[in-house]
Amino acid sequence: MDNLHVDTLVVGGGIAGMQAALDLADQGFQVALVEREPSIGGKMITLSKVFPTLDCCSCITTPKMSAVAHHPNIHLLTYCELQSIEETGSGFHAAIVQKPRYVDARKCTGCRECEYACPVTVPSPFDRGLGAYRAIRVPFSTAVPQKAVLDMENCILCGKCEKECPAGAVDFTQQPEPFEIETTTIIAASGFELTPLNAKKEYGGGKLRNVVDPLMMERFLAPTGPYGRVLRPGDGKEPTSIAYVQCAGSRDQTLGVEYCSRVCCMYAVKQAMLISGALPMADITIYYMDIRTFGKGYEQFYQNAKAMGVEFVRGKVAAIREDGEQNPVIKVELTEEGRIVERTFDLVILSLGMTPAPGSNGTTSTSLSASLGLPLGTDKFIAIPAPNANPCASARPGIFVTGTAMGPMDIVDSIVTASSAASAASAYIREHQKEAVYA
Amino acid sequence: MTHRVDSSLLYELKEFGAVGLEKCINCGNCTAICSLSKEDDRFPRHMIRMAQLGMKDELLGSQELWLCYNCGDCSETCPQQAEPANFMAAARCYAVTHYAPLKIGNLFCKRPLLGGSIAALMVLFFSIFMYGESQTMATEQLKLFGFIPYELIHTAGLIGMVLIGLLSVVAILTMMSRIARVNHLSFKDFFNGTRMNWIRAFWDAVIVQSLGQKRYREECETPENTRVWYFSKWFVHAATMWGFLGLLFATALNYLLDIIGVKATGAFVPIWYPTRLIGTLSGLLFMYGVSALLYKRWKSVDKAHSFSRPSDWIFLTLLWLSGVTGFIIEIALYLPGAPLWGYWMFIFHVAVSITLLLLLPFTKFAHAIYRIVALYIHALKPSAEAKPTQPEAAAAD
Repeated sequence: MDNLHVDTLVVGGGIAGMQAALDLADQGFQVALVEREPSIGGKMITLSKVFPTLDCCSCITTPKMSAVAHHPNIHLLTYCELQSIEETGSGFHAAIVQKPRYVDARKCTGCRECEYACPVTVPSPFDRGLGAYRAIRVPFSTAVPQKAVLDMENCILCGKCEKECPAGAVDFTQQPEPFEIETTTIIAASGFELTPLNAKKEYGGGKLRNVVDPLMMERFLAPTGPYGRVLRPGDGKEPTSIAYVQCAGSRDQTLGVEYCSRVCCMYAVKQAMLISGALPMADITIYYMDIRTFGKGYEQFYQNAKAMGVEFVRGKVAAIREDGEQNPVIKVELTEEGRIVERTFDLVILSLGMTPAPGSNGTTSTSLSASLGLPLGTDKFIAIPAPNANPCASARPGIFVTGTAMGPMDIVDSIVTASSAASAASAYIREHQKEAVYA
Repeated sequence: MTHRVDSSLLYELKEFGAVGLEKCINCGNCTAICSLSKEDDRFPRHMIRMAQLGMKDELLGSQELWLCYNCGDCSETCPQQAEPANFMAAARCYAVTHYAPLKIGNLFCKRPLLGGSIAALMVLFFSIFMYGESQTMATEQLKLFGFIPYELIHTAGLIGMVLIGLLSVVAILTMMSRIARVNHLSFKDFFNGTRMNWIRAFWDAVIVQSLGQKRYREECETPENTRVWYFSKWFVHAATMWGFLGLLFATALNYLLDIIGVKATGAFVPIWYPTRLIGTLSGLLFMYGVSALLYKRWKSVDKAHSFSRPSDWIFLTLLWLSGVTGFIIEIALYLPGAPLWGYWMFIFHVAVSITLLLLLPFTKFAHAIYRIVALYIHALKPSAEAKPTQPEAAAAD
């Protein structure tokens, strides 16, 4: 890999990172976008629809992904990992590693012949493990770049893909390639991860098969989803009664997550609406402590869901067990009536919250902030010292933060902070260039 | 019904150690996770709500307070860490001071130094008093009742028992009248239905639940929290209680044997003599239970044992001291010669035991009486109006 010299290095290719990169590139700055997954798109490309407009997520995300890939001012570096940064007089010096795809990206045309030949089937993280793909594959249908990647952990080295590839792109001998980027500014857009499904033992500790996380539900509801319809994973039955357990991963001090994750109420309401469309006969109940619909148009959205017949019940679900037919049974106090009930559902969704994205090895949640030398807030997200005066500035001059890397937020706010970070970075670069000229 | 609001209730409860109460957002997790909380007895959230709203009369008229065995599940899972189990314990302490006369319980629930000093002074007073009445110290063999006259101890014990009995009756009546007022019941309702009905309720409260610890054993133990059966919450508690009752039984039996002229109190008996054997075995069980309870509170082994009030410590310490001194006396009895410290230990033992008894209505000890009353009411389910008959209930479904 050749070393690069850019104005801004964006770390993370989700919706926030892409938006920040595009805003800067459109102003004429040189941008390098580093993404650790083989495709950009982040979490948003896996979602079904956005609230409160119910627009199709793919329809918003894919054009941005293409725009990033084709922008003359953006160097898209997928399947790359930021190792460390060093301050230089004029900015930063970033050490990056290109992870081996075992496919020559310059030769690969995305024809998928390798994928058809591969005999190994692996659960697909893109479908939250509900669907499967091959050990060598284009990550998903709308992936950018449309290049195959081989996962060596599951590969049996049968060599079929290598034989089938018409471009001769499969290369089992690839090694990690370190390279360097000189940059004036950095934008951290490392995103979030869901709080773990198995964290609460009262909720079955992740062992109940028909208790799922909200991103699984997004895949059920997405047109590109694994089944193309809503089925419960335990036995493939079409659910007729569905419950949402709000605050299943947030506002819970026993989990160490004291904050409100801000999106759970809205995605639950949204999914409930979408389920009402997909399964018109299904009963949907949302158990909540508080419903927080604070954004523009959000309260109306919530009222619409109520009017559509989605049942909202105040009470924190205390425990979930399973009956003999794998049906989750929830126990809750209906706090407005003062009654304690046990109720059986076909499917339960735990409205999990947001935690900072973990490191690539899955062991540390602070990898990006550590490699960037950024302090964390009490919530473990990257700290923003002056959120009112300078909402995207990190504690280090020249490094900006956007999207859920700084705290839980929805897509609307992620895009707002992305443009805000781009604007702050742009001002910083110009100031810096001026100094360089007059020095 | 009009509700009187006591705006200082929350602050008052805090003095009893109800920390974190203001964090409660009434999500209902505690009530739903509680294995004892049912349709008719809703706690702890219901009680917390009363405390937050200043509904003092309703709180003090809730027998549900005494249905809780402090398993700690609610505190372990409370998303706000508002410590509902600790609140229940604090509210029970609050109730103890309000049921017993003159609010003497305040001293032991809120003031560790003052409460502890009073207990210590009582022990000292009774010791000095008995020393003043003491007679000869036999040196060839320990003759305890030759040292402190047998009549003195008996008279003191009986006066103490009668006093405590009277105080307990007053306290129980206070508790029942508070429960009655809040639930629109008359005293007659506590004995409603056939005689069989309330005898059965009494049986359930005293034998099945109190002596048998049924609900405590079956519903308040979570497998993850119970490492070994002999360290489980219910067993440690049961060991203390059974041991205590065993000692009481041995003493009563001893007295009975004296009355019917089989054996004079204080006469030397071998270790296998029935009353001595019952006493020794009960004592061992009792000492195990009390020591385990003290250890759990000292080490804060779980949520349920992390918050202790002065009343808990004073009660457990007195229990432990009475048990330990009893065993030292027993050792002295069987040692060759008559070690003098055996006599001093005897004075101390009697003083501690009398103090323990006299403080019953004002310390943690009081739970023994209130819990039985609450369990009785729970089993009887008194109601002012007649309940809907079976067909009506079916029709409502």
